Amino acid sequence: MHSSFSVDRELDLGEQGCGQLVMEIMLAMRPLVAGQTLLVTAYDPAATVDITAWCRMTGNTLHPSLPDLSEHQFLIEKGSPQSC
Amino acid sequence: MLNNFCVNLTRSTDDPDRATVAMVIANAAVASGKQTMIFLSSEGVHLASKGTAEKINEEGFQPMSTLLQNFLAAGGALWVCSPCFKKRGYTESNLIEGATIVGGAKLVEFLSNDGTSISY
Repeated sequence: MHSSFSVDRELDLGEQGCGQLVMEIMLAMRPLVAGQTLLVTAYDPAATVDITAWCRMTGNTLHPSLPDLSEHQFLIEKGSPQSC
Repeated sequence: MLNNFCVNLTRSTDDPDRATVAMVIANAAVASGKQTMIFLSSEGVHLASKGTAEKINEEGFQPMSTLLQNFLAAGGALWVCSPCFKKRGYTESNLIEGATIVGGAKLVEFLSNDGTSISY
């Protein structure tokens, strides 16, 4: 349960990183509509910088750290319909 | 921001580590919304022949066949250097689904249209 935000889909990527990580995120985001959210769990050391860059490039929003989230969790909100 | 992104790959089973990393980067590009194309030349063209991708499975990465399938399914383009392919005894009958045999002009056109490239 997450008390301060809603989650429409969750994705646990474990240790996956680099292109494999963003490919899995892209595939998980595809069916979402604008405003829906994906909660990603990722333990790769580059996950933070890669997910941040991916969101910048694709027009999706990475929500800043929320109290309910660990350092390995990332809440991504789907942007415009053109976003990945 | 540049949108045409080329991954130039000259390796396959002769350097599976390098070939796998190239495919991972290509996946990152296409998953990030870039018009992404892998240009296979020299030894890299083996990857466009049926059965080769299945032979590459590097520790710490997804299998090459999975990476390639995801790349193509996400809309990535796989271009194969025509003389490199022919030189190694291949014909179009050996080509995997989703790959396209091209010549240098096609590559130059792609890169000249606000393109950028990384080589492996």
